[in-house]
Amino acid sequence: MYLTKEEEAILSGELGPEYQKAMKVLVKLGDALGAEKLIRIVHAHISGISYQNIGDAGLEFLEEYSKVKVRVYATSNPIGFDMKLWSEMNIPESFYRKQMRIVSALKRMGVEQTFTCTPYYIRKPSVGEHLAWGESNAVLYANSICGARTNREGGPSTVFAALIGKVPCMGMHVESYRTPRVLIKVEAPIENSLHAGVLGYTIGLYVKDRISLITNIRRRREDIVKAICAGLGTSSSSPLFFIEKISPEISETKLKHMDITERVEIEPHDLENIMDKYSFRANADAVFLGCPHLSYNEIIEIFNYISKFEGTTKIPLTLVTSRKVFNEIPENVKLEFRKKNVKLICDTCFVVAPLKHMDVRRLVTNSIKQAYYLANIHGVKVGLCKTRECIKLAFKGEA
Amino acid sequence: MLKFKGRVLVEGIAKGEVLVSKDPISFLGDIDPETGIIIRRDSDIQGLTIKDKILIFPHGKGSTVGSYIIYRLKKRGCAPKAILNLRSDPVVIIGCVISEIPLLDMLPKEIFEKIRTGNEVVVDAYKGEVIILK
Repeated sequence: MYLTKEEEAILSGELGPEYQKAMKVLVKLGDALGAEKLIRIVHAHISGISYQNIGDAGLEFLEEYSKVKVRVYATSNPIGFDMKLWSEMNIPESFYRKQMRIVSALKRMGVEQTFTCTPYYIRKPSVGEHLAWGESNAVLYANSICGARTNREGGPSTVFAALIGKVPCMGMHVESYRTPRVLIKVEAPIENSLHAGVLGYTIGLYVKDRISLITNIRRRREDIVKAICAGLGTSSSSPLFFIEKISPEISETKLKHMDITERVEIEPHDLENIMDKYSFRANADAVFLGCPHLSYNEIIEIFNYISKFEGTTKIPLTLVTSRKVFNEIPENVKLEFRKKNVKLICDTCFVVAPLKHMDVRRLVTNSIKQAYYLANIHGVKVGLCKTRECIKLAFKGEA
Repeated sequence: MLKFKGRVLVEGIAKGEVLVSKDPISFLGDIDPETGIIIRRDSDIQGLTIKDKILIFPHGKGSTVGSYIIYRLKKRGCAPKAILNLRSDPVVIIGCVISEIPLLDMLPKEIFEKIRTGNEVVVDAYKGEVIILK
């Protein structure tokens, strides 16, 4: 791989052992995977920072690298609890202390304390920008919806990219790799984020690591495309899809020269087959909305729907968002949520929280991503419902 | 004496006993980070330790937290002396670079027919060579 003089100097240790190792990792990865050079990124999104996931191994690693600073704008994924409500969440003190050591390490490195899986609501990437993002839904959103360029980075590689401010130029950073091979024609009605998530999940099962072109989706609201990203990222390692009339890179010329080798139609029964696995409704002990983190508009929409219900929730209803969006929500909305016993929390995500301490065994959600991970990692029974059904269930106490 | 050629990903020299896993390894979940013992139930080497071994497996798989686990094993003194792969994935490459564990990949497939757990080998991860002594 070709290195500039400055990169060579970092590699030889001129900026100290931490930057040297970070550079060594990027060069080794680039060499192993066929990159010719490093390219500058404008934004790193650091994933893998919940103590629940990375444990002492990740904590020790981040502390070691916290002696030095990131060299590019960097945001961070959710941690194991809401920083202000951790004791209400039944977080054990030992877990709290270890998680806060990770938070301090990131702070010393100069990473923004965004703690969200939706970095695109913090800083929306532009077409053609190079990024180093972890977090599968965000990678797909950046590549597919924003037209930016990032590989599916892992936790440690996002740290090294942030420290150096560069990544090896390979994969999704290279124009010629960004070509769809599978054409997906959606023959099922996609009206809401539940169905959109299940659609993404179903497409992911087909495409595996390949790039697809998705056609025939009539509703293209923000919550729908976001849910497709989350679902597709759950069942596949595909870093990019194109969606008609949304993905900025789709131009007439590109479509003509497409190299499609496989065509698949998604029928309603394909989605029903997945939904059937999450049909449980009875005796739910929690309702979660906000995977990925809710946007401002989604919260306001939920607020409007909730005003139809009298009294407080019978099953605890938790809405999850980022601290940034939380701070933008008007006080009267938050007050109404408190009155109705609807919890609005931030900084965290139930997939990376120590759920075993929270007494959640039977859960209902609108997100296939959340359903998949909570069932598989935490052994929780999960039912999937539309957003409005989830809210109705929380207030009425039964399906 | 048999010699195999591979590609150097992390430099170093190691001599020791081989541990062969014919299956891909996920460092998160397959290995106890405190002891280096293989804990995955259906692994062909369950119960054996990777500590101070020359560990050979086809390629890595699974979560990127695996890189952190390799690093933790090294800090606990339970890491392998060297890792050999047919194809190294980013999880293993990053784990080995930060832990300074010699790493070779692109070894020929035939190595799995010739090398056995318990063999003594020398890994020269400057020249990219693996030599089976006995």
